[in-house]
Amino acid sequence: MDDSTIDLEAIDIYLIGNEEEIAEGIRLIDAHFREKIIGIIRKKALSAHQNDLLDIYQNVILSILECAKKGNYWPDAQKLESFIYTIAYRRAVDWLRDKSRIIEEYNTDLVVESTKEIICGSKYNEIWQKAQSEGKRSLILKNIRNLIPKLKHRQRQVAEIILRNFPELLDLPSIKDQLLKRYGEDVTTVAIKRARQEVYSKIKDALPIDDYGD
Amino acid sequence: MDNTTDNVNKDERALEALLAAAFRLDFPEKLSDEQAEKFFKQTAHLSKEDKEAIASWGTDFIEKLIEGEKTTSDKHQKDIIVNEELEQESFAMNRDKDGNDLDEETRRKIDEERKNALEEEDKKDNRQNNES
Repeated sequence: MDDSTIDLEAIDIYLIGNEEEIAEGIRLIDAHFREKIIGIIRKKALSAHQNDLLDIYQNVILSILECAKKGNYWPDAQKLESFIYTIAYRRAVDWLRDKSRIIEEYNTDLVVESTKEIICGSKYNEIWQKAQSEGKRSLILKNIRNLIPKLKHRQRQVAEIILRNFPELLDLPSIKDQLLKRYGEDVTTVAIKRARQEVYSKIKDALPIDDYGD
Repeated sequence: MDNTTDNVNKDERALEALLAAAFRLDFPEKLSDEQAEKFFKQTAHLSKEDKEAIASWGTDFIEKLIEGEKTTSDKHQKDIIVNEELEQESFAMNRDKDGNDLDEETRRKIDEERKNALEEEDKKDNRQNNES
């Protein structure tokens, strides 16, 4: 049993304890999981400023605290990590709804069909097909999810606008308009174009292009 | 080349499709215990700025949360600024005290270095602002 396992078990025990023990559990969660929780939040709330991250993170911690106090955390039914993941994901979605007035769309069929069709007509089709046959599509998508949060703030905003509107194709004036409406920021078309190029460049970085002689 | 010309070609459009697929299809709300365990073992992919921000939060806000008080971002920012101001004030007071023992030449050199450091900081800020 390694140290991290011992800590996780300790947190579980604290979270089902009395008020003081729950508080200790919360301190341990913050000490062990802060970066990981922010990692989940950042992937969902791409356009969040660092101040927003603090707000969302506090909401995550408050939700965990509330669940524990109400006796709604059952370590036997759900492991701590999946419990924290779900809460972090949901609080990030709440923030998106409140802040950007973005309603999550669950029309996944449309996204799936459009993605298939668009990639099929591009030079990335071969990579995508080969990735499927090798069971590596999820890896590519995971790489994209890991690279995009590392972009600069403006680039993340643009990425968020593109992905939320997909499959609708947005031209630069439309992205400019959405930046103004959603975030109240008036950005030059040149800056938007540059940001979009950076987004494209990061996605390309996630593709195993070298393996395929692109 | 006109920087405002907007031609998203079919390959760029495919990159947009991959972006949407990554964040809208392959990013589930819930993970199984095994998936979550694996997920938490991986490194969090954050920018340098995000990491610095997280490190700057400290742990006082956690104690406040436990007591039921949420720290607002602005308040937190103000706290940081106030702390920085206090540190600067304390530094200035100590400098003043120590400064009594310095000769003119040393004092001039210190002031010059401080000025250079501040200018360097300003340049750095400007560069960062331009980049963002």
